[in-house]
Amino acid sequence: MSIRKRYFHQYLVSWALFLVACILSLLLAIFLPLSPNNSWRYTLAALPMFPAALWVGITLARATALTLNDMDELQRHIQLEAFSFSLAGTATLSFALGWVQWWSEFEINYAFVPLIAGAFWAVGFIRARRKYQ
Amino acid sequence: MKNRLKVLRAERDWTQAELAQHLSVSRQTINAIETGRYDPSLPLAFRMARLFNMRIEDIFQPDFESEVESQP
Repeated sequence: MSIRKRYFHQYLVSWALFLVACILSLLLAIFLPLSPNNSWRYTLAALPMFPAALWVGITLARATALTLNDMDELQRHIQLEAFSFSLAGTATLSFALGWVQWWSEFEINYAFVPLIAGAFWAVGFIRARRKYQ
Repeated sequence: MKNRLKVLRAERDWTQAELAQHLSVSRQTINAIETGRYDPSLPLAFRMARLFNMRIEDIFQPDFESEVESQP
């Protein structure tokens, strides 16, 4: 298995485990007995999320670092531009949405933040890649 | 920065992929350097100089015209 494929495999396994933790958490929230006395219900339901999030965070950081180490200098430069674009875009958009949320009824789930960051990264990556083609 | 990479490569009858293999970089990097869209790092410039058995300044020359144009 090539190095790139191995890292991609690590990404997939991490996200699959995270997805399992999400589903487990959801099932616990649905099926734990509902009564006024069990205020621990949602805390217990959220428990699988913490180790899963920590695991995914560490694995993704490690796989990303190894992938970047494996790239040549131009590819690293392209990734830097893509990550910078993503950081700037996500920060600006999340601040704007947070600002709107402050004084209006508008609400957005935090789960959208990685999706927004991913979308900005993809745009930044395509833009940077075209620049050096 | 101007460079003679394309000429030097052609003299040896190498493709971009072959030169990339010699320098352990991607073909895209060679293409970007040849077309002047990307300036290589000093270590890569040294590797190129060693590969072609030349000095760095024999391969790369400063492009004063474009530098003057790009200044504010």
